[in-house]
Amino acid sequence: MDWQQELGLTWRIAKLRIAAQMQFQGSFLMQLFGNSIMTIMEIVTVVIFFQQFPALGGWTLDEVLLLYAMCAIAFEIADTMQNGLDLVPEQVRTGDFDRLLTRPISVYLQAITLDISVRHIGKTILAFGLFCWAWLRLDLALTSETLLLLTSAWICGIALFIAIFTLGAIVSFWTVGSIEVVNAISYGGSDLAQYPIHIYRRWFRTIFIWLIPIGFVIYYPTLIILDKPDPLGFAPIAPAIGPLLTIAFVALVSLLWRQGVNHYHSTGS
Amino acid sequence: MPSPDPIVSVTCLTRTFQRRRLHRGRFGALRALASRQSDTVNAVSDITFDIQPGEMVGYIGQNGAGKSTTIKMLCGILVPTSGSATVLGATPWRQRKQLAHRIGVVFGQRTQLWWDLPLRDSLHLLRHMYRVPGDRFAENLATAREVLDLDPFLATPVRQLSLGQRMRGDLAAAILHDPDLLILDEPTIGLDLLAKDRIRDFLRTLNRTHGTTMLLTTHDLGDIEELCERVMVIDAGRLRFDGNATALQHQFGGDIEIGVDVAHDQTIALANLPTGVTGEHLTASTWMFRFDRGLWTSGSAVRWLTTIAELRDVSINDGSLEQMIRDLYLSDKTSAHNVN
Repeated sequence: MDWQQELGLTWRIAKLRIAAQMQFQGSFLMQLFGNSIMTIMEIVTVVIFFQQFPALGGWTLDEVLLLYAMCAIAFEIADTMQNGLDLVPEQVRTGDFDRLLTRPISVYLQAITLDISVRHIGKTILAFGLFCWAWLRLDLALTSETLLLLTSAWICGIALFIAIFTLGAIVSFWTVGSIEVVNAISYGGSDLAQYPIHIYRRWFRTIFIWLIPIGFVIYYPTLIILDKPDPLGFAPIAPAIGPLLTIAFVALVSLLWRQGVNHYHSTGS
Repeated sequence: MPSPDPIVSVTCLTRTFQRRRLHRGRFGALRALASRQSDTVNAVSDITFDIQPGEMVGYIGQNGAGKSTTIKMLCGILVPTSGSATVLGATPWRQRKQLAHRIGVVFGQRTQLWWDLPLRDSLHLLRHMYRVPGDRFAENLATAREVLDLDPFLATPVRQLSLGQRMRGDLAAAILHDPDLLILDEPTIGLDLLAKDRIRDFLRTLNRTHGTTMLLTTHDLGDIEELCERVMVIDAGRLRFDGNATALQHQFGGDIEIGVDVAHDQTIALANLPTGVTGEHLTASTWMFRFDRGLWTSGSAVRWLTTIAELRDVSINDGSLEQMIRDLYLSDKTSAHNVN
């Protein structure tokens, strides 16, 4: 089976599982609602902050909200798609992961579909709404250049966040212990990328620009679209280097995943 | 078509585990990751066997004896420490995906189905996953529906199925792609008699009509008695017995015990018994005899008894398979018995 057929099958599994979840409409709406509340609270926090300080690192409230939404869209879509990976540590621990290895398709795609959760869709819609609102308030023009920047930011952002979540699953092939370190990177990474990255300390910035290139992928496209001053000076190379660093990071993670599965092969549960 | 080559061929298969010491407390996970302390455990030691096309082989042993480890290696889930295995011409751990198309695997303790989907959807997804041609799918599903009686719960999400229903669903799922080899790990565990019967029926039918080769582990000796002519016994990672169930009985069955109740006016003299027979007078009208299995069968023993007394009641203890296996574990013999 080639990868297109495997992707098709993965989508078929996802669709069926989403349909099954939607049948429980009450609980589905509750989950959607509960999740949206959390996002709204986060946004309110940002707004309250700006009532004390009118600007953050030279960015206004609307500009920060746009950045926040840029990041949240990529993060929430990634979080929706990676839910199955959350179950991998548990499956490895109990040995249920064996089942994925008795089937003739990609272990990774099977892991992704271990759980499909639609509850993040509410957050995604909310993030997109916030993005549109900020975009209109800032009176930004939608040119082919900005469209390209947005698309590339979101594709790279989603890939990057999924790769970070995958790291969490990979760790569990070696240790049954906690994966809090990885959660700190994924959730923490998304939280910090929601603010202009130049406000952070240098070492911290370096990690999230070069090692885990969220800075290049989310912050710079937004900065270019908003035409803000560039205190770090990477703006000219950012649109090219962001995708490159993303590809490198994804390649590294997929290599590690392969290693992890091989390790499982050689050790069992 | 069955080929003359064995379906499964295992040579000196060995698997040892490094059990890492657990670290508790602060940073336990990180310390476990960094630490190199471990203990070596022999899960499977130097196992050799072949399985021919069409055979139904029972693989038995206590918990932790190495059954699951062997099965994992045959499925390609686990790489052995040393030795070799060929399953349907492939090396499982190197050609896992190709092999997956030709074997069916059922784990009694964990389902292969999607827990939130109706059974029917799961089966259709598997059809696509294994690229089963439409007519083959229709035929296999029809057989499964009939013999396993799936219809009452085809539309029920898997998580709402009873254990027996789920197991039947799992079996149906495992055979949709016409596997040449079916590997079953505890297929009847926790099931009631009716469900067990259905599953055994289905496996027999499949073996007869498709010639499907089967390797099954079980704790239920009823499975062995009803399905398997050949039994392999593993203990502490070593193959202790490989042969047919009757031979197992001969080797480890102990004596045949027959208790008799005779008519009031009768008595049995215990003085001149034939070779291989010992007797004991229990109460006024009951006696207990033990017959050496090498010389007697339960049939010949009863026939002899009828010639010496008028019997009112006979109770035969031919030694249950369970008893035999317990004896086998307790016996001190350490070499593998190959009586093939």
